[in-house]
Amino acid sequence: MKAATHTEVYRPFRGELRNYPLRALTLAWSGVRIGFRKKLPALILFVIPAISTIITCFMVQLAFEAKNPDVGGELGMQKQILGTLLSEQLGAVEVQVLQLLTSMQLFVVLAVGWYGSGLIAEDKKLRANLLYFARPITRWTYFLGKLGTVMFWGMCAVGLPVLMVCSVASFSSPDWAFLKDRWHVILKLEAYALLWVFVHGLLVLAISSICERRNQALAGLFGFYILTTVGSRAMSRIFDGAAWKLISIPENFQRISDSMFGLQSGDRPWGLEASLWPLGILVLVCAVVLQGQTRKMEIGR
Amino acid sequence: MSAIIQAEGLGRWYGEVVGLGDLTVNIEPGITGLVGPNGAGKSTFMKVMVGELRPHRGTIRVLGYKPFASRGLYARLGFCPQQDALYEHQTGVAFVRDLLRLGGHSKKQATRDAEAAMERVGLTEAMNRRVSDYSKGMRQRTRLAQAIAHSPDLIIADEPLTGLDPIARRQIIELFQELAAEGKSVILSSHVLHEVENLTETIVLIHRGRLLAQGSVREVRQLISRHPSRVRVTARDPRKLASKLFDQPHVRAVALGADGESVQIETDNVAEFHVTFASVAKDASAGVRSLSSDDASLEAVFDYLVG
Amino acid sequence: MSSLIAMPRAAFLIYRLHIGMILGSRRSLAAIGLAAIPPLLAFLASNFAPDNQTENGIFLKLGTFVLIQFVVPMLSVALGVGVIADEAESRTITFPFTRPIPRMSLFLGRWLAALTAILVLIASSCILTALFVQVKDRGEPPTNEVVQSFLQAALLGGVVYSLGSAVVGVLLKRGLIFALGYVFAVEALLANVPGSSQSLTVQYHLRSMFIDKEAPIWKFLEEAELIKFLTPEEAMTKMAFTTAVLLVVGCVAVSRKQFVLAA
Repeated sequence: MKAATHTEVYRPFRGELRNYPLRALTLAWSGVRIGFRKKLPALILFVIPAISTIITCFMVQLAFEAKNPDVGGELGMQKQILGTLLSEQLGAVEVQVLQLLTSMQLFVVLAVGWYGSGLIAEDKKLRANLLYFARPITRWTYFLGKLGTVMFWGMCAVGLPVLMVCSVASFSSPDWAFLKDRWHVILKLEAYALLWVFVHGLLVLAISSICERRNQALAGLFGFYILTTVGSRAMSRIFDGAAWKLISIPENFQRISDSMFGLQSGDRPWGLEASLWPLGILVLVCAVVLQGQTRKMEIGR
Repeated sequence: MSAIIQAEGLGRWYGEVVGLGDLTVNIEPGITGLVGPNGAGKSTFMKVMVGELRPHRGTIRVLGYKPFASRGLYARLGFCPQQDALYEHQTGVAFVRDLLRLGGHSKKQATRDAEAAMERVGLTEAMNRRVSDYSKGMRQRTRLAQAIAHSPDLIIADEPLTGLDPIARRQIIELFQELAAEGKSVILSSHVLHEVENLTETIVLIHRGRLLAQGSVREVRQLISRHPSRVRVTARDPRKLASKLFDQPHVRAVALGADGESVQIETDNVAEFHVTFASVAKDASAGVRSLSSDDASLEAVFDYLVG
Repeated sequence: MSSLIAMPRAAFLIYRLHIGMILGSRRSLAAIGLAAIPPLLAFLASNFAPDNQTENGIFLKLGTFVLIQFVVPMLSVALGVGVIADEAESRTITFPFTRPIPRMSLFLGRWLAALTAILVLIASSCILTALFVQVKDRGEPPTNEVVQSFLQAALLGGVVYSLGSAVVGVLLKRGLIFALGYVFAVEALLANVPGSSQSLTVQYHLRSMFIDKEAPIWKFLEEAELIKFLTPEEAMTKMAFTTAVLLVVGCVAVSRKQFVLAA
């Protein structure tokens, strides 16, 4: 017997399925929305970055207001002196933003740890991978979706504050000088923040993918982080050399920032390439782990 | 006969969610089925009975003891929880044996009693396998074995028949009947009334954390049929509607509401009333605005339970 | 059965049950890996460090920075925080809690089992580190006295950190996160900021137990961090008192707390 209502209720699809290229974005956004549900962790994790950002914004604005005499009508030498003064101001603000960026790095680790540690471990625990991979999504989409979630929270802790302070600096500086003269610094700051968030996001996802529970992943992340930091410090003391510092993630990033922002790297007397290698290896290992683990998840294990 | 469970004004909530509202109930010895739809508060009541949770309001006595952390009670109580949790690294018999040893049994006695309990739940063959290899039904039976192994006076089982195949279900029902014949009391929860009816006539019907009915299934059924239902109708011309409703055979009483816009109707047969009401309302041309039933929950819950 | 007899008996039975669980868990493999880090680094340092590094110097640095500051707290937190929290999370806590035993015996038995594993791993790690720094003869090996004082400090750290973590695991839902946060954020900050705030930390007391105030290697610590260390006896007494307080808090908390388990 043919059910008459069947075609009424479930109308056959006539048309073509569109290839939606941004499925990862949907996945990432759903992860972000889950993160928004709990207000208290967000408050604890982001209250200090928020306060620091506001204070830095005020300081930046004050710096420009205090030393911003009217240069209209002035000519020659005086204008040159004022130009030098402005350049100094811009340099000082640049340092302030950089300091903010450096001090926010720890909060990135906390934020990506908190929001990222359960992303894959919980999926495995709840067997949600069976649901995900029953949909037309690839492992690559799944990975990008999860990475997108982690990076959103990481950038909230560091990228957004830097952008806000740079915006305030641009508005406050005379004739948008900060934006016009230091646009490359703004880009570098954001690129550095993005790199920091990317490496840590990848690390937390890799650890999450090999753990059974969120708590274990979080402990694993902090364990790895502290072990490499403490171990590098102890071994560099024993070996009377700086080479062991290369196993520490923050030391390598510090070296990268020294190069990017033209700072002295006295405690890190090695080339930029030497720091890029361990970070590259770390990224590679994380990618391999994620590749293997998501493959297992895809085939339903 | 003195009640084994005496609960008075019991209240327990989880944040803003009410687990138990204001539950007052006495349960006599024997087999009692605690029935109610999902989320009715059965598990919360059981957790309060075994002392896993403390009530936020009211008092409870189980076998004369206040249950929370009561060692005296636990020597006489066996609890089979609903959650599918066991010590995964152990064998079934070792799991039951170790829990018996915690109860004060010697190693030899604990082993003997554990094996006997596993046999009673039909797991003799599998008792030396790790529980992580057990099926859902076997895990359920293992939980039941630990609850009966120390020969307690009272066994409280939270949905013990869930996840069992029909044969195992029959075995467990027979086991409960044997225990009752030995003089033990059993309280088990279920949201399927047929299951409980196979085992006992005595039920406690809970809904939204409150006691809806108590007694034998037959009595509760009669109670519902005798219990007139109240229906409230608001209309443009309630007097006209009331005069028409008086003529209806199922209507026992009609009263005009104090607001002047409504009619309170008492009916013996609410189903029949709903069938005839539409034509009555049409004849009366009273401009019916709304119709609601305040006390339909007992019947609705019972209908739901009997399927 | 009176509490006096029932409690140790139940605690012992639970201890045996939990030891079996620890040995069979994946977490114990991770713990062994963690404990193997200091000996491994000692082996590397002994073979490849510059010649001016003595065996004793290597041992002191690894002992201070890796063993005491990282391995001891990490191991203790990882195995300690789940003493009750694991049972609650896996929802098996109903079974022991509906037996006629004092509730605190569950806490005691499971903590003692975790502590046994922690102490065995810490002691092995410390002793193997002392042995592995001597793989290549560099002269001036760590004396028995030095190794013993490190061992005492590490074991005491294991006791205090694991008990503290166990209590946190009873009281808080996300105990592991809070315990890690305390050990590696709050303590790490307080213990390394110059000034008297250091004396609030467990690390300060552990350092007090092995620091030889006359040795030049430690001079910088007192000078740079502007703080006087305690005598080992004082440190031990204060930690023993802390342990007793934590034990009471843990036992009372387990006896009073309701564990709301999802079905």
